[in-house]
Amino acid sequence: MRRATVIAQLAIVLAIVAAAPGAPAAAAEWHSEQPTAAGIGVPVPLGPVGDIEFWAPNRGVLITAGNEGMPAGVYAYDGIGWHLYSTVCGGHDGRIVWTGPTEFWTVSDYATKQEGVEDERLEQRRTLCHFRDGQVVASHAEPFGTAETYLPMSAAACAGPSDCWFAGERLPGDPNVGAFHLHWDGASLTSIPSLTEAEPELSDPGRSVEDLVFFQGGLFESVRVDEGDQAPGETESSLIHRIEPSSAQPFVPLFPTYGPGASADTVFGGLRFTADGSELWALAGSDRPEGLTAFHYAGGGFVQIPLTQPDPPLLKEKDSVEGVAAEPGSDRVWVGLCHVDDFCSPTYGGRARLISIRGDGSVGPEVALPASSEELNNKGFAGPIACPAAGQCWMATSMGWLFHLGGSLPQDTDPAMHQLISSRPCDNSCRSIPPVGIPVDDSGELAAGVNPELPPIEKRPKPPKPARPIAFKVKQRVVDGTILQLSFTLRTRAHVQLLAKRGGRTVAKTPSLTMDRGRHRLRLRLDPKRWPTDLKFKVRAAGRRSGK
Amino acid sequence: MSWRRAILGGSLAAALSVGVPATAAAEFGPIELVSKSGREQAGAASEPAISADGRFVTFRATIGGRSAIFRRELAGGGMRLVAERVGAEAGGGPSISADGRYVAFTTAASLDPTADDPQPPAVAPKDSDVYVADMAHAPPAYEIASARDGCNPAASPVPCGLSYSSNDGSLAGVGIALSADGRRVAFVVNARSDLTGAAGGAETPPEQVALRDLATDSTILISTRRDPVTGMTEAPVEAGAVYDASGAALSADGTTVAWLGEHIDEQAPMLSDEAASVKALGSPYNEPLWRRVPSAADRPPTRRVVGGGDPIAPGCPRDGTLADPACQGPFNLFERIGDVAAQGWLSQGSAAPRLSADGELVALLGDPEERADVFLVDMKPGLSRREAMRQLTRWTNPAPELPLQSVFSNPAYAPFLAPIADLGISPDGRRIAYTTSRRFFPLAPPTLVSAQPAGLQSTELYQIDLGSETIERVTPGPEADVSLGGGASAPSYSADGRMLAFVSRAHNLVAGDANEGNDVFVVESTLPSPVGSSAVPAQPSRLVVRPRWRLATRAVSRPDGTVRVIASVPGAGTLRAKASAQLGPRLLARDVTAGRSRSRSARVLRLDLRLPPRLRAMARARAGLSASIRVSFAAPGREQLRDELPARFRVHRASEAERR
Repeated sequence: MRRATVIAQLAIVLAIVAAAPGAPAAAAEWHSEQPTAAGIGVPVPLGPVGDIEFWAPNRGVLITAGNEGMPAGVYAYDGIGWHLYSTVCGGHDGRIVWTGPTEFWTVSDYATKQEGVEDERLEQRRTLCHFRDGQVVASHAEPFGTAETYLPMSAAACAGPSDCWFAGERLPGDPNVGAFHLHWDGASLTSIPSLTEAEPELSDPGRSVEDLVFFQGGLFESVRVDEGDQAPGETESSLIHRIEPSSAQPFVPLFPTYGPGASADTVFGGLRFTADGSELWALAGSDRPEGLTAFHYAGGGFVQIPLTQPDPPLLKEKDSVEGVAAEPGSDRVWVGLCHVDDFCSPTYGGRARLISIRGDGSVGPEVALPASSEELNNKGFAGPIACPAAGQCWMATSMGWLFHLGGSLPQDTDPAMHQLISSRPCDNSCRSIPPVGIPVDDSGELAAGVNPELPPIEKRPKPPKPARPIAFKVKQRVVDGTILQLSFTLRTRAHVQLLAKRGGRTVAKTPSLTMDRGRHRLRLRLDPKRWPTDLKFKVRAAGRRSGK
Repeated sequence: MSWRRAILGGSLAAALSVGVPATAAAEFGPIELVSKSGREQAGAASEPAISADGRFVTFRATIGGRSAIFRRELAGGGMRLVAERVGAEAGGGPSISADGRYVAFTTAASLDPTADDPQPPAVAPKDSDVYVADMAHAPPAYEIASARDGCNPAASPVPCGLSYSSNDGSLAGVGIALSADGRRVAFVVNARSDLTGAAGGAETPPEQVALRDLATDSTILISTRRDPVTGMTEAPVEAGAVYDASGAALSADGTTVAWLGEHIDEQAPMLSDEAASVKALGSPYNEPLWRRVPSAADRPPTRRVVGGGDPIAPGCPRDGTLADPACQGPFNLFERIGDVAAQGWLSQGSAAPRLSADGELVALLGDPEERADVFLVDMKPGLSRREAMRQLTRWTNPAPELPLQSVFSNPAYAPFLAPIADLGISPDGRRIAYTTSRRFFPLAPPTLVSAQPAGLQSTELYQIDLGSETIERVTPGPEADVSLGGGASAPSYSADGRMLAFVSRAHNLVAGDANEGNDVFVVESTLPSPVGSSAVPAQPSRLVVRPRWRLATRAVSRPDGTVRVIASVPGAGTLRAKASAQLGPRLLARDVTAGRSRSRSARVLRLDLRLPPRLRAMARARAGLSASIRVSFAAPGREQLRDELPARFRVHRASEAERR
């Protein structure tokens, strides 16, 4: 009943989200453009959006963790409006990278609750989904708590369908120092450095990866310089590495050219990359009054751009960069900011701050969203930004409210981008329920010569009746992730009990119940931390002493 | 203590059911979210009040970046701003007139600077005042209601608003402060003020109940002091008349005001030993009080709605005491358990009474039995408080062997004893909505006819229909088991009880509710149609209080292995209960235990059925014994009433005798 309700509600939500693209576009300025939900009939936030990426100006996707009213998953833009594209592979602070017109990868949360994990944050950003032609063609993950468990990932970049990189937190140091990297070669994923075998020759400094980008044939990663990092070989902190997969030491430190008074120590947070095809930028916050550190890639290296602030200045010390996107066809980069004093948390009550930085370093003006003229409540601080074309940019706030710079576009009608994907293939982390072991009903065999001591019976004994199980049509399913529901039909009145065992020990059981013949249902709540490895379904005909 | 539990449940039930033929329970339509604009859901919506005609809902919310009071037209969806916060000053507590034209509220903003008193330099931030917005104007026209008697804001050369000595100012109760015509407003003056004296003075003590008639520019002090000899005076209660700024309720016809009072003996009669007991208490003592609005010609008394004592009860002598049964109220309000914030009617929190449109029925939230329950009191003259009061919900103790405090603090017992959190009454007095996370309501009638929620801690909205004597669960609607994400509060009814507005944090009442905050919802229910034709003559010469001849039963399995049969019987007679069970797989059901009890009048009877020792052992071995209980009620000359209940004898431990 509940499941049916959820599906029905979701269907309503989907229908309306797809049909109602939001407010009419106002091309010249940033404006709210939020999908509308059914039931309440007004635009609603989508929950924390981790990333927005576009293949074309009228073909983009975003990944969200969802909220109480909107499902987690992937939403797609078709030039007219946003619609729910996938109810699987959503995630907290997820990432998206395109590899083809209908093919992309996501960094997502686990599909199923992992055993022994109490803090759900540990289950976030540790899996990959591979979308192609309107379906999830593969899911990649390892069970939590093993040597091969993926670490949380925060960056993704692809040079093509068979060359993708994903990276994230630094490794624990044993067996290897470095950051967690996964490389997709078109056929399989490989951890670099290995998670199980020592590879000290790779010389990857032990810093977590903030961002990845392919630009003009090169692969770059930015890293965070944090206390406790393991980078013994470094004489100077390197914020950017060039990754050369074919090299014996693939993580080559780069040292940007800093401006006066600046150094790696003054960079606040990791650098975020943005490229528009011809230009590559790297930006981060700053511990200095300038408020931002901006680099431009030129001549094979990164050079800091001196920023020119208006009076009064728009940037503040310890402004945090929450999103960045270069606008193609212009020398402008949009930067989403949040100041550390505002906590940058879901409780943030102010408006989203966006500023633009020109190629010459001039800053401003600042855009506060939502604009006063929109008559909207504040929607959280600025989050990911994407600019697929000149005059076409999107920004999602921390609550999952979308703002658009630019107007509507010709609708992308590719059927592959108008599916509703609701299934995700099982990966190594999937948890399965062992099949129920139905006891053999030996009630028909009682008449057979059980006791060899008895004298032979002259009369030819009747052949024993074929054993007919008391319980049949046994079906099992898991409801709400933790409740095992067993449906069955009893041939006769019987005592029944369902036991869940793990390593021979009973971890959950129902009371022994006496049930009349007919169809019945048993429900057993399972503890995810003590997930059963074996199930026993005891059925005993009522009034009989044996026959288990 | 015994009389404390002795509730005369049947008499008022009978009184309320006079003239109302048997009816079916209401059917609820889909729940609609109304706290939204065309562009977004509201943030932090709260305190809804629905107009009597069911056309408008007013509420507090943040919409379009504005934290304000809004009024929404339900049919057209139009939203209008009633009053906005000014800076950090919060408006609140909206009440709405029957046609939705007028909205009363409390605000610290000076919406009519010519009428509001100037800000005393020593008082910051500004004191709060009560205003009424006339929504027939655009923008709304504001008139101050917390104003001095006889002062016309439009004509007076000096501000008419009350002057206060502190910024507590005045307060209007949420959804209960405005008369149906929008011209009368009840409010509580929380600060020392010039309410009854010269303008600018401060001779009126704080915590007084007042009523403003906007049509005549008169302000009447309601909570006046009672002189034991001469009766009601026009002087305020020096020590304060209202408990804990809980607001005051005004009946829709503007004739009656009710409030949760303090210093009761200065406002209403008390028994001599009762007054002495109150004075001896170390903590505040409160009781709901009720008064018809006085006029120049008439000074009606302030009456106690319920009380430990009932000095004006028929039969109570002039010098009666609490020891005299005729002078006893429904509850002993002095025996509290553990640390409580107050003695009296409500020991935790504060809640103003709710009034029916004519003020005759008072719906109350009170915890005289330690956990807050719902009560309904008939204020018609001539009834003792015990006769007038009907308890509509009652908590049960699932572990009587444990200390009460440990039972209260165990969240696993919440389904039995969670307090009632909030309530509202329909103007016609027929329906009462309340919110709670309790799941069991053993007083039957009213009988719970909805499924119990599956969740232990979900706070749901229930509706009692006194016509059909049913309790129905309103939230989360038919599509879900429990409200997810938060519970309901602040129910408000339209005139006929058909429309019900409420607040909920739950996100599964309406698909797509994604703001992760409180919202205001409206649900419409059918008015139950009478079953058969009414037996009441068109113009009855005299109302006759006669209970309907019916039996309502309920069986509760108790931890000690007994099954308690709770039966509401319609009059004098004998109640019999017989339990039968199937003791073997192929055996016919046989009688296992029986009991009987007699009643002298309509009341709730409790009958405990206990298994014989041999069957107790069997029940324990089987983890319980399912039984069918046949209940019958016989009275001379009347039709025998029968009912049948399923029950289960649960025996968890052996008795001392069995262990031996």
